[in-house]
Amino acid sequence: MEHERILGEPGQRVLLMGNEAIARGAIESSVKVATGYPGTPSSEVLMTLMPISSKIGMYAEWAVNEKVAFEIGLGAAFAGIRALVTMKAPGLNVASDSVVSSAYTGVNGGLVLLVADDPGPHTTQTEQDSRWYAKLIKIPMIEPSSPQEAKDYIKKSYALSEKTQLPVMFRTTTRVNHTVGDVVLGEIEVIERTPSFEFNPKRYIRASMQWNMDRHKWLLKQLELVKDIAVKELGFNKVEGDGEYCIITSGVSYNYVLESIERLNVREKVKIIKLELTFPIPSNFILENIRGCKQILVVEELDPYLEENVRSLLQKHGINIKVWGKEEAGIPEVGELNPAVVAEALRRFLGLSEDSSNLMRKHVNSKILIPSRPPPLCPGCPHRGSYFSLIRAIRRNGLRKQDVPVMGDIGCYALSLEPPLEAIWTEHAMGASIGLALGLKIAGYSKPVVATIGDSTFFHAGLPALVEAVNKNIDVLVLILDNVSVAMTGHQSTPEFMVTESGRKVKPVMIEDVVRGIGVENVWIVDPYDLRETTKVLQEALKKPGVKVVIARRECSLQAMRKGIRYTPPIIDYNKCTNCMACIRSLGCTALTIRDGKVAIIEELCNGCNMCVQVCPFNAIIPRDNPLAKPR
Amino acid sequence: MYSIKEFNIVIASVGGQGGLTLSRVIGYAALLKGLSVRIGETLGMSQRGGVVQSYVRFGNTIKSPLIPYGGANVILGLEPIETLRAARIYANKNTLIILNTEPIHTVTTLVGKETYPSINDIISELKMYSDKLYAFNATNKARSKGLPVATNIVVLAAFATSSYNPLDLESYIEGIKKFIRRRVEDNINLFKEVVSELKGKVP
Repeated sequence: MEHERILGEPGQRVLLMGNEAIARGAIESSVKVATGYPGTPSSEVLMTLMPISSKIGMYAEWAVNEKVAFEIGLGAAFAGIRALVTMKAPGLNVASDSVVSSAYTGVNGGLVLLVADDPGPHTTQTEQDSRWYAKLIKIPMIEPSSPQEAKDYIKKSYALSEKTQLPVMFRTTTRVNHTVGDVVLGEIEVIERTPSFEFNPKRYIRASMQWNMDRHKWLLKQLELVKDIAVKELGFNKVEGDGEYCIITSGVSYNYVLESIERLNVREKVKIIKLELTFPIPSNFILENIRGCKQILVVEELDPYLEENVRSLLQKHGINIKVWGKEEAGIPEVGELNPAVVAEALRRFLGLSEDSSNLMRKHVNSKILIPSRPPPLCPGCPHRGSYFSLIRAIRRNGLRKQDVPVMGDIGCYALSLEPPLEAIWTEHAMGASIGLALGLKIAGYSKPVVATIGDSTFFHAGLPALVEAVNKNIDVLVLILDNVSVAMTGHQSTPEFMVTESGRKVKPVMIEDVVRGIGVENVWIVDPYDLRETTKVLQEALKKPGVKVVIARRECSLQAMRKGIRYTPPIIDYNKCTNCMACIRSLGCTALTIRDGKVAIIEELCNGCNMCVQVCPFNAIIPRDNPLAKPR
Repeated sequence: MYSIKEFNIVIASVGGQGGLTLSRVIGYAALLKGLSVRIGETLGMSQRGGVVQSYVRFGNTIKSPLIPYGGANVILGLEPIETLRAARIYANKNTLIILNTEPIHTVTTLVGKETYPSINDIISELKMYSDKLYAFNATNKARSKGLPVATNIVVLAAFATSSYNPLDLESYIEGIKKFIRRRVEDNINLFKEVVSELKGKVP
């Protein structure tokens, strides 16, 4: 990371990813506490802040999960300090218990909650539209459409939060978080405050019916204030053009609308009403600006959130203008939008003939079937060794692979679903592997059940389920895949670290200590590169009754290679190699390939893990300097 | 000050080939010319070995991080089938396609579930979209210069020699300095060498 971009002078024009722009916005707003839990597409905000945090007097650290993160941010905001909390959409589900109550307590220092949705969904289990949460929780929601707005609106969101005493939900989508664009940097505010906290039970204790109703009334009053302050004082929302065809949009969709209008050459016909405050719905702003509109088109990704709000607003005020929503304009609820889909919707709305858009791709009759490229485990990935050994142990114990459910969890190891391993049976929610396994056993499933869960995911939400397993003494094997990082989201620190990315020295909390501490008696630690030992231990663990935990510990190969830790790739002895493909078929390592009809090792990808050495039936792959994994 | 209305580049690659880094290098070069820049990407869950498409857009009017279908001025193809995958969506009859002919197998083609098409068939189909095609083994070139992971820089150099290239070589070198983390000087030298080798060969 070149920090000079993030800490550059006001007025400087730099290239920033949306998430970097949000980080810069936090710096410009004098945020003193930043925390969150890694999750694509939100992670880069904290990753940008952490390495520079000590330099700028900011606490920036990952928390064990989103709920804890939010509570840390809220506690800081109670004390009058500005705080930022970041998470992906499912993280809000985890944090929501605390977030809902926070609307009633309110804040003293500004608190911004970044929630990154993922239409597509590129890297998320559902296409959750988190905008409904703002309405459910009753906190203001701001939506930027570009990196520049992401930075600028963070700053304004802190003003909004402090003026209304409410946490602000900053809702983004992948195409805002991960878009890189030119951003002009702003002034860095300097706010020095001494943390303080008043004793005020009516505000901070949610245990009295009367107090809770009082705070609910207060909240509704604040929300009315939000509309005024956000629109009139802070200048959120925009209107462009003065045509009779009105388009209401927000977030990244705004960009697709603008470009489609240019392409269709219909600028004079339309008026764009771009909403940036999307909860509470800025009703007066909308009512003022739809005057003179013949028809209204709502362009938004995922659910018809704005559409339903606009329809109900018009109904309430007895306004009879036709609204084109998802159904009328053919804008899908599934998947993300793109320029072509939006142009097509506009074409329908404006009644243009088909050829005027000219945005559809050329079709060629092709004889080629492009092979799929399922995302594989990386070369040298320790998870490959863990799942290979697990499946082998199941078979060696006389069971069939299809008899032993292997519950998966959220992390890189979910990629074991692809061939050739095809290992996991479920991937559901953070930490769910263990609870789901318990459910199967409690229901009476007679064969062994295995839960596989990563190190960070275990700390995040797996731990309570393991307590449940121990307490109820359920027969379950929990395989904890400890690759010493939150690898999938970009190698963030876990509670096992001694020093975090900010340089802060922390006390490592080791999985084996936690597991033994809650009463698991059968605990093993194995090196998943050692396929023989790992298989042996898993065979034993599968046979034992009660709760068993096997910790497969080996640092993520990418992270290790970045630190310069790699072994010399093995070499293939073509006198012995029969081209049986056992290495490729059993491991599916992408450092193994076929060149001129023969198995070959791609040296620049291989980290010398030597798992292929161990599976070759002919000892044709010769290890070099990795002492841990010998031929069979 | 440069004036370009809209220039769209799609970079088609496999995770680990440096497609994302390349998008930053080009985006930075455009930023130095005072142009508005948008870089978007579509990638899956894997750190290595998955499909990666990057979109680099610059010009005076661009807003969206995505490129319209058929809207690529240039496709920089770091891998053959990924180039074809991208061309089917983004190519038009004037698109310049630069193709690295070194294939990277997929897990499915390695285990025999699917077949990797022949490079000649891929080139034939690409030519149906646009005859502005330059195909060469960029990975071998990078390997021969001792930088096997610098396929991205070799492909950039090929593009830099093309008449389609709207930016100057110095800006790309500044981009390499800014966004390439290791062996920066070697990468710059590689870039310059390939530029002089390929001068006049790329459409």
